[in-house]
Amino acid sequence: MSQDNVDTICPANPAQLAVQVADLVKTYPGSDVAALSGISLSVEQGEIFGLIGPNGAGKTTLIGCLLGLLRPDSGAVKIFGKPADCLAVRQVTGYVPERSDFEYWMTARQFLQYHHGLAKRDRKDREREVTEALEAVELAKSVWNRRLKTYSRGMLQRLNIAQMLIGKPRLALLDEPTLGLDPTGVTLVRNLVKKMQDEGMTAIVNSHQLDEVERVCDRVAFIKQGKIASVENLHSGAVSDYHLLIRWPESQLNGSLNSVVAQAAKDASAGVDECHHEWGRFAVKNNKMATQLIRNLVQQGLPIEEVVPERAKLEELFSASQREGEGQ
Amino acid sequence: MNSTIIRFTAMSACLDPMKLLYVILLGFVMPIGMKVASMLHGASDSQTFEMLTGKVGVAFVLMVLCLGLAGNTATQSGRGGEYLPLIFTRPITRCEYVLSKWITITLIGGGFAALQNLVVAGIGMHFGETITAQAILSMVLERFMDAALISAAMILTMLNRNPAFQIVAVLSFYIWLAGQTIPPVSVATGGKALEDLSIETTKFMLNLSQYIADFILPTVNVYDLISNPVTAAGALIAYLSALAVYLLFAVGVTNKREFFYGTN
Repeated sequence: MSQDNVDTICPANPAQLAVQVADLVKTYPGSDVAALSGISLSVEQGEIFGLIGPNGAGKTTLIGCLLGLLRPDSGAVKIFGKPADCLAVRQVTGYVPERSDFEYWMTARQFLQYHHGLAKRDRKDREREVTEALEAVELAKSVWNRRLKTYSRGMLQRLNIAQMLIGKPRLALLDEPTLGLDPTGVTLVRNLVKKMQDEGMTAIVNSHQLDEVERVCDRVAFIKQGKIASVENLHSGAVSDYHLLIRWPESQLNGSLNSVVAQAAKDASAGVDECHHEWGRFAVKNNKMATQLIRNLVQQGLPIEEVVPERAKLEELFSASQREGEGQ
Repeated sequence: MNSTIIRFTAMSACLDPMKLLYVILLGFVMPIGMKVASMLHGASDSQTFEMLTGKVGVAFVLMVLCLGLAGNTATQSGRGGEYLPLIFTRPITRCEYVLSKWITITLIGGGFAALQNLVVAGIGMHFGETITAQAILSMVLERFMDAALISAAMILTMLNRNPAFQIVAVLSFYIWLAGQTIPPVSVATGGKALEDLSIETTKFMLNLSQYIADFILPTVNVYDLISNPVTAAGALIAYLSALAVYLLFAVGVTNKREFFYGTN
């Protein structure tokens, strides 16, 4: 199916929410405990939305409902304004499962050709799009025609991500996308998600890698016991605040160090946590403020040797959320 | 029908060396060897030979094909195979998936069995047996009809994860299989009582097998159907009804099923 047809089925209306979930409840057969207990959230088009929470919190169940693979007991899921199990929605949705299985007789190329066909993409674009997807996940060209039974866990995960790209989705659901990947692979996923966002794609990322979630996501939902405990905006407010550790050579400013540092910080609206002869720690709200602070310090005659951003806020919030839940 | 599923299912059947080895050994080497031996020694075809070249042979071939083509996908056993939760996130209907799998497995299984029948018939003709074109055509058609029904039943059993259904289905299949393989003259020796018990048990198993066969795998004799369609119409209706029920049920349970981690 051509992109034109997809646009007709699922028009790209920028005002429309990419994902809208209302009062979602899901209990698995044979279980007394609800996996989802009234989850509501919305994700805008072009947004990268993170799901974090402890094991068994209901994150993967939520993804299952968003994919239309699980049927909620009550509540509603709309993807681009349509029900999740609508074929037109599946035409524009990509999915990286946490646990996948492969036909090991296949090669990477054949696997992607298969998914290209299943995604009902135009056959004349097949070879080009398969090659593009393999290149995007940086799988070595020498293994493209090798059987999957010879692939390592990390290589299979890269292929898993490539199959998500093959349908040129408008919404990507990534369930632990960095599982089994080496540090290069983790960076690759981060860059891919950012690139997807630049191209206008929406993504929902479920991951236990909090630092990765913090780096790529615009907002993040903390899910606990089937409920959303909180939704944090990572570009404003608590989570985007961070600290800068700035080192300078033993100060030649003699007695004026403290006042120079204080003035530079004040002019940049940054806070001074600590100030010593060789280093200082500052609280900043965003990168712009950090840049201004560094510029002010240099202009005040303080040569800077090293600047280290210190971020661990999401992890702190995650732990706090956990503690709150336990206290209830 | 989905051409991508059909193409890759056919590739899966033909590119797995273990599956092919099994099909070649059971489907070709054994029956052809038996046929040649019986021709050379002037003996009549054995019951095992009849079994391997008939419906049971088709069932054996399909068991291998179906386990690889629909089994792993449905059970998510971790042995490798299509991963249905991922397949069903694609813009295909579950009906499309089931029917595409069924038609491919039928064509491959029926094709293997028909080819085997043709080879065996060729060997017979080489040694002077007389076989009419109508008989050969009937044989080939019958193998495809067997394959269509058995593959539909197997796909249904593999996609329906209800344990009670699976137990009943597998048990019925093995009783049917036992009925095809029990020698009708099998009698235990060791006294009158044991002999009688043996005869009664064999008769019971054969009757039960026949009832089950009539119910789950009704046979259409294609030669009779071509020669005298009116008398064979009842068998044809039973066959088509069973086929329709299996396929509708397979599509229904696949549509109803939740395919995700932790769901059965």
